[in-house]
Amino acid sequence: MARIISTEQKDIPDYSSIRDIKIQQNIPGNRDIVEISSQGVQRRTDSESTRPGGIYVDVPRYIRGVQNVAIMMQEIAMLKMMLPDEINIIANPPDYTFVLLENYLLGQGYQPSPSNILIKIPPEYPQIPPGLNPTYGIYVVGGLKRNGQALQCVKDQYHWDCVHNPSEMKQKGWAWWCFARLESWDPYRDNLFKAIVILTETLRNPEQQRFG
Amino acid sequence: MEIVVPTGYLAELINHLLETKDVETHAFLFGSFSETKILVGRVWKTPPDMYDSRSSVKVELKQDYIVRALEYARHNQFAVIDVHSHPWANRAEFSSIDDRYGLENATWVKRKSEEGVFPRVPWGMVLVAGSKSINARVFDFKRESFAKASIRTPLDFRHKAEAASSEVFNRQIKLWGVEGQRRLSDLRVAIVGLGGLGVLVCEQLARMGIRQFTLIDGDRVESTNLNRLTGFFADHIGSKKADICALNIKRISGTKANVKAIHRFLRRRNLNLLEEQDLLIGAVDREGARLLLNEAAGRFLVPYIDIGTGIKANGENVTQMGGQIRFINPGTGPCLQCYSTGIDPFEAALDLMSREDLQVRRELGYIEGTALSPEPSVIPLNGVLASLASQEISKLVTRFHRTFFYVSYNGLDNEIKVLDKAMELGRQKNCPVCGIGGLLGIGKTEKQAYILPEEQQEMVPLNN
Repeated sequence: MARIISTEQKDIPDYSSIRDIKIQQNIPGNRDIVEISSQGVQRRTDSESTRPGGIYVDVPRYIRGVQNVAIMMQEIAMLKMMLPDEINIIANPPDYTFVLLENYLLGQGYQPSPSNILIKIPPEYPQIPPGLNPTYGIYVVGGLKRNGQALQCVKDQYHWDCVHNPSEMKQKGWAWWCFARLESWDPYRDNLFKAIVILTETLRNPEQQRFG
Repeated sequence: MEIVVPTGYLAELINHLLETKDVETHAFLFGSFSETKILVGRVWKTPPDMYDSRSSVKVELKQDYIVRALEYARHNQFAVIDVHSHPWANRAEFSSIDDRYGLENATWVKRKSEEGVFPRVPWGMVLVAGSKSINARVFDFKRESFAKASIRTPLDFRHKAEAASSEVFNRQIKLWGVEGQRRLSDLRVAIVGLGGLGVLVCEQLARMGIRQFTLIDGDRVESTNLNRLTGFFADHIGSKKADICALNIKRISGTKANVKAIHRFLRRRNLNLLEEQDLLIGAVDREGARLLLNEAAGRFLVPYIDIGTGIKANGENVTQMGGQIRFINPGTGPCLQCYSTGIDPFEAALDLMSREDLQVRRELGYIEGTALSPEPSVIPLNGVLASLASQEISKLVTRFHRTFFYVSYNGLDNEIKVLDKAMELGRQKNCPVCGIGGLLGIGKTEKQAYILPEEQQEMVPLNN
């Protein structure tokens, strides 16, 4: 039996379309449903079907407080609940200037994978989103390869051995993954999970990067 | 020592304390503090089941509740104010029981702070009588006794300015009175942004008799400014805007003016420029500056007036022309982030970026040539909005009429709309700035470090 995590965990029928699950669970049609597995997180479209034992998440949209420890504690607790146990989530209390995801599966063909993802938290977070610029960016490991080929520095995506990756991040082995064209951010509701979902999707389908 | 409590919080606190007339009621206030004041950002209204005993002459709280309150203060390094009511009394006078328990509590804090197990945070007491009269005192650690304190709302500032006696003000004193004029002289105002709006507001406020200005703008005068900056002339081109504006104010106000000209843009690192002010005025066209001003208003509990204009021209066709004034009374009405239009996260992020980051964005093509280029700006529109803002400021300070929380002006149809009740706009309970776990009253503290489980519960995903 598949399960869905929304306001609470519930059993849902196997082989049902995501569209039907949304209707059945009173989840608004415009909301994202993400499948969580040992492969990481993957957004599921309305036409896809649930699989036996699959765990699906009605992507949380928080109503919450401010860029402060309370927010970060809450977000990290949420990430720990949502992401597979294999992924270590590390932050630096009490400042919470970053969140590190260790052992994260980047997707098929990537080397190294599992790998690490770093999110630097802007001082104005969540009033402004993370990832828009190299200083408060979202980073993957440098020297990343896909299907044996070193990833090239590409606009909207990977910046490793180029002037756009801050030298201090490069020295530490991090490559900036550019979210500069992120198009929507609701300071009341959006959160780090959204950034992780978009990054994961982009890594899996670099040609179809979505910015919303 | 003065205790500053948001207007809405104080009203709510008094209602809670005087809800029952036959027994005393209790509350805790928490807030950041400096040498001279405590900024109250959190109110705990003691729930009925947290009283150990409660009568018309005494309240005793459950030990575990007190421990929680102290833990909360310890984690956040907050001052603690122990509040209770004498619902039967006309005058708020501390009783001998209050004196005894108050002193016991305060000396406990002193002892524990000396042992290093509790921070040396101010410990205060507030008493509210049935007549709503209030008495406040704060423990003096050196003298080991309580010293009288004052309790006030952010708009109830009191300094020591003399009533302006100049006959220059005769005509306006007929409107708002001598006390109103004294309050204007007393006001410490910071104006951020000295463009077409800010300069006009400065001039009007100086002519109204405001004497204490902090002017913040990192720009220099350009020839393109001269169409709308009154008191600025061609020989000022290249000069610092803040300096010229300060000179103009001094010409109006004479030697009594106390004007600080800060030739810097507002940044997170210089936010404390706004701490010791009675009123913030933002006449900026950048979302980043608005975000910081809004944050400062919340942190330091200083009322804030945001003024903005906008013109949208599609070729020769003007589609929109107008502006708005938004009055932020921290903790009472909505803050800027609470408005449905809020603060644009992307524009704010762009404004707050370092030069290096902006350069990267430019190189990668995310900033078009025109993305940061200025919009049309004309003196008639600026003049209307500046005058409307000055009008609201004069009401706010002299109290000759109520102040509107929101005034919008449509310049194409010459229409003015107002909203005067905070509730009409709605303060968002979960606002990142003024909501639960927000920044209200936290002063210069980098970050709030701890919230209660029940506060956190209110922040859980609602998924709706």
